[in-house]
Amino acid sequence: MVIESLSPCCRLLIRRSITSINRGGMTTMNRTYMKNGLIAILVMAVLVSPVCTQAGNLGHDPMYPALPQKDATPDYLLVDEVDVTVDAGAKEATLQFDTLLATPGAKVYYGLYVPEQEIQVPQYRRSTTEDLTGESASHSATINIGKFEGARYDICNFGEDGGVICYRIELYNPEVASSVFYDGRFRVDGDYNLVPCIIEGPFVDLVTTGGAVISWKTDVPTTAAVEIDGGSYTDGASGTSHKIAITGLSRGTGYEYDVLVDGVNYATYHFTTEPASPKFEFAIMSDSRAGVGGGERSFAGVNYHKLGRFTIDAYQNGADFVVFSGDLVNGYTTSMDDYHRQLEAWKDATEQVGCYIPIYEVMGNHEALLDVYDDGSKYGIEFDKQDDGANKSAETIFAEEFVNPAGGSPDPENTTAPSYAENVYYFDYGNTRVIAFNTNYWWCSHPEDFGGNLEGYVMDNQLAWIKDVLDDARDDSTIEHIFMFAHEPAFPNGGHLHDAQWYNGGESSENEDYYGNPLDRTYVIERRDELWGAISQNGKVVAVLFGDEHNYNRMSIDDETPVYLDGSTNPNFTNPVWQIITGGAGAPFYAQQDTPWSGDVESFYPSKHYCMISVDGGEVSLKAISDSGEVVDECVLREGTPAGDTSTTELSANVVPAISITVETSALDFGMVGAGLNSATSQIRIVNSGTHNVVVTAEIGADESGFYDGALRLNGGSVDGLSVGVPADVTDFEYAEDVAASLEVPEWAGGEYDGTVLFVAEGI
Amino acid sequence: MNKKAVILAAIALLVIATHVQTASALGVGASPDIIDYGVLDAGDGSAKSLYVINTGSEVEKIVVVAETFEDITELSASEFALNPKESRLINVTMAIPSDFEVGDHSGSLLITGFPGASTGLGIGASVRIPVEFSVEEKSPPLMAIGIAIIGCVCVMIILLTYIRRLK
Repeated sequence: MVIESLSPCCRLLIRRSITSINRGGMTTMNRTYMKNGLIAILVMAVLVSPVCTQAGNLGHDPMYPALPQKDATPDYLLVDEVDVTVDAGAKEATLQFDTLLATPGAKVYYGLYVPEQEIQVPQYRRSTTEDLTGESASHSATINIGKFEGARYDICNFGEDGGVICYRIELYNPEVASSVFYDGRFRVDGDYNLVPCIIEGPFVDLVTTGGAVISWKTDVPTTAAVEIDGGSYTDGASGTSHKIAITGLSRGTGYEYDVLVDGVNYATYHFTTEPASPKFEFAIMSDSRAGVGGGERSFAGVNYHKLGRFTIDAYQNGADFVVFSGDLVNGYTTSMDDYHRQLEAWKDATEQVGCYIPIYEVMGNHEALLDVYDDGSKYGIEFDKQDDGANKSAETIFAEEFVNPAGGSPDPENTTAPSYAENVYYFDYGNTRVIAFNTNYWWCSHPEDFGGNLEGYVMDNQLAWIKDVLDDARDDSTIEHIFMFAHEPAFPNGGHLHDAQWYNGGESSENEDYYGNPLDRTYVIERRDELWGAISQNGKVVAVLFGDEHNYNRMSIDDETPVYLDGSTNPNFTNPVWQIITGGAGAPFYAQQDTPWSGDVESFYPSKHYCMISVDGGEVSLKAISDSGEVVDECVLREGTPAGDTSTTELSANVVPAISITVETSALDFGMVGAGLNSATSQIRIVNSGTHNVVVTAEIGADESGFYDGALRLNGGSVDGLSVGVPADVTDFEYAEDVAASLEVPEWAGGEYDGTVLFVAEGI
Repeated sequence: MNKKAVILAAIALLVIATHVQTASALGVGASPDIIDYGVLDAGDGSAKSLYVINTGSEVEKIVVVAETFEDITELSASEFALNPKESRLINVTMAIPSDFEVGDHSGSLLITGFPGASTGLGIGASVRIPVEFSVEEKSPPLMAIGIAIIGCVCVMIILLTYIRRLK
């Protein structure tokens, strides 16, 4: 009875201790000591217990239970990458791969791409079935690619030049009696020699008024470059993963870009920089995780069938960019390889469009990469994996797989919590600010008991960041509209009343802790209200768009909307803001359910769809388009003066700042250096990119261990001693000086050190 | 041409091609080169605009810090992200307390651009912008001066009247 009155963490601790004592082979004396110790813990726990809030251990370091871990990889069959070899004489390619389970022989479909097609979708033409008797976890299938040089099949001059062969492997999973698919491709030259192939992308991201970032992956290490507008850009590295920033472009201009692999022009794509006038369109979709219906609807964790169709449709309908509000994939896996592969499958379905317009991704509850502790229940006790060198969190891998705005994210909520980089961000486009936030950060299945965070809950640092970004946009005269994107709705309408930001109103009778006791989750509602209050009071927020519920619904929320179980309203919701739930990109549908605010729902559509938003100056309108192409909702979200109603002449000038330096590297890696030895010297080029002559000095910034303060040498001397004059070159603002950087590693040093050195320019 | 020469030429071309423009430059710029508030009265404030630009090729976190007079310097934004070539105008307000020391003062603002993320030795680019101002005693308001003059005139009239009577 006393134990039941304690906080959940104390109860777990005491219960496990008692169990351990009773099960273990302790002597009577040891048990007596232990029980006396427990009484002391009990007294302390009673004293501490009232301090705990309703949220219990939410936000604390994860408290991993003393239970064995178990694997959960529901969509995972393929182990590692497919190994492709080509027999040039026989004009055949062999695909070899292993599976997690023994499966029957694989079916392989293969084909080519049509060069004239702007949207490059695979054109499968032939197939083969693996010659395998029974089941095996080791597979090999040979495909006859020489067939494509015949006049009947050669759609891309394959016989002379070779080309890219696309393939799809279909594997039957006997455990779940259904098939899964894996897509891949490889490239041969005209003599059937394997040559480097782009196997993912390219993707264009972070499109601004003057630049963009182009990224792609190749099957073997290569150099990489992008040629655009007469300039050549490279990441200067040889590898399989490339990310190249393009700068110096003009606003509102369409550009073709050539992707170069090992110095050879691979293919040409195009994109358009941010428009000069505030008139543009963007698409919003969410929840493309695997659906029901088999085939491409359940493709390595993704509903490839719907996702591919919707992104192509959005592009054809004129979208300048796409925002995807979470649940890209099934996730909920314990395998980092599986998580990577699911996200890669998602990119496979979107790359046809992603090479022309940017796609911004947001995390949902299904972007979960877990450690699962087996307590005998179906799902066990689940935690977001922690970044610890050997393991990576879902957030870290999400940032690795996608290119989203990286700077200025909130600080992590805790020293063991993951980074918000590239999963919480904002960008400005025309007269509009787009804010992406993460309602599924650092997830734990029972955070009130075991720490971590609750699904749908926006933690303190992120909330403060959202308020700052909203305030900044409010004070910025160039920003007219704000759109916000996240996964878990503030006011769910069908499918997720039991979680999201509602939890059935937080009622104790509707929620329970890990032990099955009633749990008061009104703290979730309080946090929802604080968040929505900031959104509503801003005055510029047009709409907040969520996913999670696999339907479409639209409602306007203000201080007259019933937002509590008793039907009462919130006076802080001063300005009306649209909530739009658009979770229809592939996951199974949900119908509308009764809520306190059901009467305010202006439109509801229960199945697959995506949305297009059109910004025309001060006016914003929306269309929801179903998978059959029908417009299922259409409305003006904000009335205003369209951009076309005013006559403007665009003026532009590139003003060079007075004092400016550009350092042509953002990090230095001295590689492996022995203690007591000196590193090789790296040159750091410092460009005077301003109009005034400057003197450049250096300072140590972050250096927790004090390592760099003593070890870093600049031009052979100490960091403090550096002083380099860099005159201005007012012709092209590119006068540069090189600074030699090296390390004199002290005898006591060992391990990896992070730090920052600042190069400071002052006018002279 | 022998094979070695061809290989060397190819390597040279590759080196040139890969260094035409590197993609990870970090840079920050600011205008004007000095913020001079001129003469300020104790108890008054004055705002100046500062233009900050990301001259690098990647998204940067920009941090603006008043290295001196941090207690009396107000920044309309001190931490924000800028895309490559993106700029932002911030207001730098100097609020002089009434008991601030009279005389010439000089300090500086440090504007630093940090890369989005880096491991090992990260590099930041900073520009230091001098800040100058002079503080004078707050001059008495015109009404007070007027009253003082009128008072003086009245005193003189009274004195003259008194002197005449004495004569």
